[in-house]
Amino acid sequence: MKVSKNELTAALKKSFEGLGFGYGDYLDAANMVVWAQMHGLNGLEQLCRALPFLDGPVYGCRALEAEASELWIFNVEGASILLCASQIVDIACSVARRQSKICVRVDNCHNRMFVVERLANAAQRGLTTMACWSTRNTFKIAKFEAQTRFPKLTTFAINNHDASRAQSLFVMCAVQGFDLQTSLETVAPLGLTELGVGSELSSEFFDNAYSEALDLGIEMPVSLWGTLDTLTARVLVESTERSRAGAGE
Amino acid sequence: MDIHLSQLLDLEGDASELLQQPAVEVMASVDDNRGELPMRPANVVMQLDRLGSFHQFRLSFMRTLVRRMIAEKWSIERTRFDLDSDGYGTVVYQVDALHRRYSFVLFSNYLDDSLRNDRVIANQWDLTMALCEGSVDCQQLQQLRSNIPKQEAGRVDSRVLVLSRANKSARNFNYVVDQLAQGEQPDVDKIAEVGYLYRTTAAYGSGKLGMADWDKVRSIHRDFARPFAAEMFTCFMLRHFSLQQVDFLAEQRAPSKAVGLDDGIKRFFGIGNSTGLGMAPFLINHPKLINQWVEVRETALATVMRDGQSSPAKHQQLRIYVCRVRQHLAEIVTEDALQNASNKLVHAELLEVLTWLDCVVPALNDWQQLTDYASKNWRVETQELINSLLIELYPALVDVLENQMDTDERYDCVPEMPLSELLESIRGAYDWALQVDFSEPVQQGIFWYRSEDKMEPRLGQTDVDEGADRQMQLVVARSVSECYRALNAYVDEYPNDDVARFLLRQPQYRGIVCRIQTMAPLRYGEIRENLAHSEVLPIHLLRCKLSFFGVSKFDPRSRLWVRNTMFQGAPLISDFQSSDAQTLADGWQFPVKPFR
Repeated sequence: MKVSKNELTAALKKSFEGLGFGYGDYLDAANMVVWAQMHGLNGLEQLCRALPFLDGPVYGCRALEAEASELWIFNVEGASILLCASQIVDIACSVARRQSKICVRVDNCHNRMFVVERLANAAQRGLTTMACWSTRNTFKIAKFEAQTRFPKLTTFAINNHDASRAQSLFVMCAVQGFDLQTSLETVAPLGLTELGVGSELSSEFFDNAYSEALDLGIEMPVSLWGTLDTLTARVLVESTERSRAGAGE
Repeated sequence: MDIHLSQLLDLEGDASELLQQPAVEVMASVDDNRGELPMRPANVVMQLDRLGSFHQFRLSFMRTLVRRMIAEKWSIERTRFDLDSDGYGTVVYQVDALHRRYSFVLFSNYLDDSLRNDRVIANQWDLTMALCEGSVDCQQLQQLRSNIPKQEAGRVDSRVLVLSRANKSARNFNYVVDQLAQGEQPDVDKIAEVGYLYRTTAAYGSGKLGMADWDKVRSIHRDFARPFAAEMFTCFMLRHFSLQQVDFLAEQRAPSKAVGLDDGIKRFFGIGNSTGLGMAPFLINHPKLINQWVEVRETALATVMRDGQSSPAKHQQLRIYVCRVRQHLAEIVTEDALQNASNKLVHAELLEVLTWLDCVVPALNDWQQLTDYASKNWRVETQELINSLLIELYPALVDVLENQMDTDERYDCVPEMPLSELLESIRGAYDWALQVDFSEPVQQGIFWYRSEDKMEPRLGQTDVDEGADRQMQLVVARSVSECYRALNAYVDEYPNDDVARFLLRQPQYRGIVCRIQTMAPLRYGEIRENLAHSEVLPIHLLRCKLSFFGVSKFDPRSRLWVRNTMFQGAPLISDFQSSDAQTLADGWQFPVKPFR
């Protein structure tokens, strides 16, 4: 079945609310998933994998492990980035505004790709933003120039997987005029020079994906739509004779 | 960057580009010495009872749509009219607007009287319809036939812009057909009691049920790139069909005797609308859009106050408008005692307006004298009616604003903002919220929730009804109060922190902080009411939004829902090409009975 962007956003907001996300967090989480789906990054597929892990006590603690001048470290203890990306990117933006640039490392974090929407949002507010993370065989870099709508997303094949950073996410922000390349070099698994040629998704890819999704709608697996309905039902209230009076009957 | 409309009007060189329409006349009249626009303050305008007293005005969506259709000479042709002798079947209209072609597809089905229900929870209707992009082929028509009659239980695709449904007026429909079949015109007095043949109970757009997103409509379908323009057009087409259907049925019933409905009476038919609590959350969840609408209305009013030349001709025109509104009010039939009393009081006060004009006109220098007098002596509803009429007097000054009703709806957090600045913002823009004492039970007497019945928004009584644990986040005043208290406590401990650090430690305030940071800089911002108060009147929220739609004849059925009339008095499609089309395009506000 096909759904629209607005419809998906509304359904996700209510579903995340049903999962116990707070006001603000459920809006942001919905926007992150929708952005990924609308821009060709398979947000719904990622969400399907994430949902079972989101259905539990809502993670509420953002532990700050270190607060050095150019590197902040968080350990989010296995939480989804959907729950904490806003706070983390906000901190990165705030520090970058004050000291020109910053790198934040987030350990033990899942669904890291979803952070891209938050970076897009920060870029719209005038910052250069970047995130990178490793999977078993790849290293991914998403970078937005300030004031741009679309990132450059590069995927590199890697052979030496650093198990200690298997679930880490690096978020970097800089005010205009400051380069994030040196920050990237310090966090890349084996140094950029040893990485093979990456495959790149350009602005054109994201622009086209967005236009197509807007024009034709978003393909939605029926089973996922059913799951979202079930989650939404958690915030609905039973209808009774008395409750109908509360609608003006 | 947010640019106030008042600033736009003060621009000379770039303004016409920004406004995206010819604005030569207005821009050419700009005088650098005019001074700032006298915008009314938010603490006056954004009170809920005042917003609930707004009436339609020149820039209401139905008004601008009708002007656009006529100015751009839209062509609307019936390409399919497969109705049986009882009026059931399929109808398609082809619409050629300035930029694109659209199809209006309608299904008319038998509905037992006992199943006719205006509530959102209904699942069958007399008519169901869709506005689609382009032409509709047989395959698409079949898809639509399988889904449109089901409304929320069906699915459509992104070729569909709007989906709607309507029920017959039990009082009017058969009477009108009977009259026409007997060769008689219906009695205008009877029509005045109701004013429509069908009543719509919902018009969905903006991506619901798989339809085209608003982003698509505004970027691709420029003919409808104003808020709710496609929804309003759908209701306009529903009205057109209803008038054709009664003519058709009368002709079927008595081919040799039947007469067609007189054009003057046709124009007096609108479309009924029934709006319930479901519309209320929209105003709270789209505060930037509501701010924009109010800003446009207030900019129009302030422009008239500053630049509207008071002249004998304008005085006379205002008198005519006031008389017309008095007649309009006198013709409204409602069973609601409060609305009746209000209509009578406003009717009486408008007589005082006429008297005041007669006394003061020789010395009347500007309209501020009238509005100042009104604010001291007449009811809020009378004041707002006068404002609507003043705006009406100066099309050349205000029509330039009609493309400004839309805005982006991003709600951004500003993480680097010092907490002292955030606190200052709250004290400045949300002082009204901080004044509410939420320890008083009456201030939290009700809560808003979504029912499992089609997610219909409903009100519950605190400590009595189930569902408070799942209430909707609509009580902005309470959220701001709680956030403000938490911020003050936090600042005592971390005086130098910024918003990002505060939200890191207290993420539960993220939503309200983003809202505060987005809304505080805007001129009108939030609706200033505690929506959890036991005595809150949600009907004011509905009336506010409906006034921007451009409806008339409010007929409250309770404090939670209201019937009203859309497009009553508006030109007919057959008027679009007539020599007096321009007059008809602009002369239908506050409809009154036609002369017979």
